[in-house]
Amino acid sequence: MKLELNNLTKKFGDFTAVDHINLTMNSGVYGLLGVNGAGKTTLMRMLCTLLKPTSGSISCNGKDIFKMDGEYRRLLGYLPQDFGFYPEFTVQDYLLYIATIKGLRPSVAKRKVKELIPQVGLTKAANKKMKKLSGGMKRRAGIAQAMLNDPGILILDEPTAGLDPNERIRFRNLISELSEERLVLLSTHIVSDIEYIANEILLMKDGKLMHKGTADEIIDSMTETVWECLVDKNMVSDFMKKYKISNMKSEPQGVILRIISYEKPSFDAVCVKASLEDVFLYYFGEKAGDENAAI
Amino acid sequence: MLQFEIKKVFSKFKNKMAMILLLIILIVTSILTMNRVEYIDTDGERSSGIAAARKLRVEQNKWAGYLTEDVFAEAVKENEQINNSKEALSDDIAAQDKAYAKKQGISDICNLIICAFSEWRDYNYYAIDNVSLEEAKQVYEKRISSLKEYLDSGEETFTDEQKNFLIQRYENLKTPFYYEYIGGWSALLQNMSTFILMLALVIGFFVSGIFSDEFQIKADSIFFSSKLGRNKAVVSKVSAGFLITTVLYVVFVLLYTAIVLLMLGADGANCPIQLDLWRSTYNVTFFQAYLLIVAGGYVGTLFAAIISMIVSAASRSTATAVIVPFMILCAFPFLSRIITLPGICSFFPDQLLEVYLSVKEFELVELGDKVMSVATVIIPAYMAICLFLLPVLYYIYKKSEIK
Repeated sequence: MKLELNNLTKKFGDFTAVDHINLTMNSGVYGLLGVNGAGKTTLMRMLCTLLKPTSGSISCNGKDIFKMDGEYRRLLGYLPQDFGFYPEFTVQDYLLYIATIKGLRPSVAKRKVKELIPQVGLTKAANKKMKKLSGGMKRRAGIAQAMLNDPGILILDEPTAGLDPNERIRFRNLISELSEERLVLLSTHIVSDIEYIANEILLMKDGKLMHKGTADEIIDSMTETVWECLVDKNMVSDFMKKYKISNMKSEPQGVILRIISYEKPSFDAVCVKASLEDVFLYYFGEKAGDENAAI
Repeated sequence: MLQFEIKKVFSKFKNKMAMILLLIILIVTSILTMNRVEYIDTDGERSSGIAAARKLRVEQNKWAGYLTEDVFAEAVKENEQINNSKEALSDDIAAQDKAYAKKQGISDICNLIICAFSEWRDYNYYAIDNVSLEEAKQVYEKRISSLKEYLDSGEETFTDEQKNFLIQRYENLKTPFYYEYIGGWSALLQNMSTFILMLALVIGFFVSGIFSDEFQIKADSIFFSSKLGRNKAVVSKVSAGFLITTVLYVVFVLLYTAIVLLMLGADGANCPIQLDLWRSTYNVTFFQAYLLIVAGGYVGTLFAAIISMIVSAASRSTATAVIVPFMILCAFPFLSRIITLPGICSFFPDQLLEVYLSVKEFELVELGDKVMSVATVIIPAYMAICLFLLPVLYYIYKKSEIK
């Protein structure tokens, strides 16, 4: 499976949501990382044929996906960020309906639904109405619907958003389990999710693709150094004004700051190995601080 | 796929409530229709509804048969005898009611004589009292001659083609009429338009969310990114809307018809509509007029439902779509009152639900040199528009983008 994006651009009036993206993706898990408004969802919607690009093209194994139409969507599994469902349908009915619009024959649809319900841990909730499910259960139903047609391309937009830590870990593991021999594109602003499951990370900012590579490659791309130092509580605000702070930890003797800087921020600062979260702050700057609240 | 689309519609709480409302409308309208039939017994006591219909039916079916010249003369004679009875001449209202009770068997026949001998735009209840036995034999001729007099009077402006059309229609009406009790059909046809209007509004409510709900509950992304999301799944939505409209319409119209006719009696289906609508230009039986009214109602309901679904697909708002049937079926009659363009108003879609009036009155359409009755033009015309709009609906929804 090969997806190629050529000069892909999407404009809404004067606003450019996706700006001349060139990218080739093969099988594997791709983590799309960026702050809110970076263009991740617009990019994914174009990949799902929900939006037509203003210019540029997307091809799947050499064929334009919009010309392939249903033939392309047959290969596609999609879990959108705002995952809507039919509240009065039971989980089973919901999955059977989605299987039908995915073009599965009734006998195949029934078999797939039977297989997927236990796989996503919804056996006990199979006959519950969708509106009665918890947030985590709804997400699991969402991933089940995306997997119904055994897709070659799986696109997951913020799949772990709003889940509690336990649910998030379970969900992350489930995605890893399902990602074999597929092209999985996973968008999130939760760095740890990407760190655990993505083979390759795509950093997106202001509609542009800034960096692409493995976690280590992305970390190595950072030109500044990460430092850790213990400072007096009164000094914290001064440091915040002067440096990018990726983490703060209060201790009885002061505050341990994690600082991204070319220069050594204090005489006792120690150089430490950079993490993906540091890279996130490095590339996305001030806005990233807000997003890290979710980490 | 279609089954799931229908399930989506009927699983919604508000649609379950709409179904209950529809059943209430059916029951209330049926009761009101049944109460249209009244009967006065020999003691002068007035009753209405099922029992009244049964008694009236017995009385009127004594006169069942072809309304020949002799039958009209006999009816005039009978009327005169009753008028000269002690009860009729009494000043006591109860006694007069008793006299009227005796007229009920011939009331429909007397009604024809009254219509024939009243002024064109008038209904003189006492006209029959001045009709001689010889004159009574001229009822059918009088119908045609009154029309000609009216057309020549210049009270209304008709073209020569329209005049010829009307005269021809009158002359082509087969006489003598076959008569039997028509109370059930008459009551049914009179209330049919109101029932169909309410049915159309509720059906519009049912289908208004078929397309927009996908956007409102945010199920659109998964729908459109699925293999059949831009072709067969859209077809199944269009089909669901069409099927729900058709099935609900047919079922409720049949239920209403069955209730009314079972309770009031189904006799008279093959009698000419002129027994009830003396001046009608439609040379049809009660049953044929019923079919015409039902067909018009169906096309009107379908048209309102399709426009509602188009608005639902284009605006992505169920609230906006649900207003559409009200606009089409309730705002247009209002418009036709304030706009003095009768030629255009006859083509407004609300007219499809008013076929009864079209059958009752002279509503003509002139296309080129051909004159036709309004109902015979607007029913096929709107059906053609509906058939054209179905692919438009499909295309609008298929091309939806998720922004």
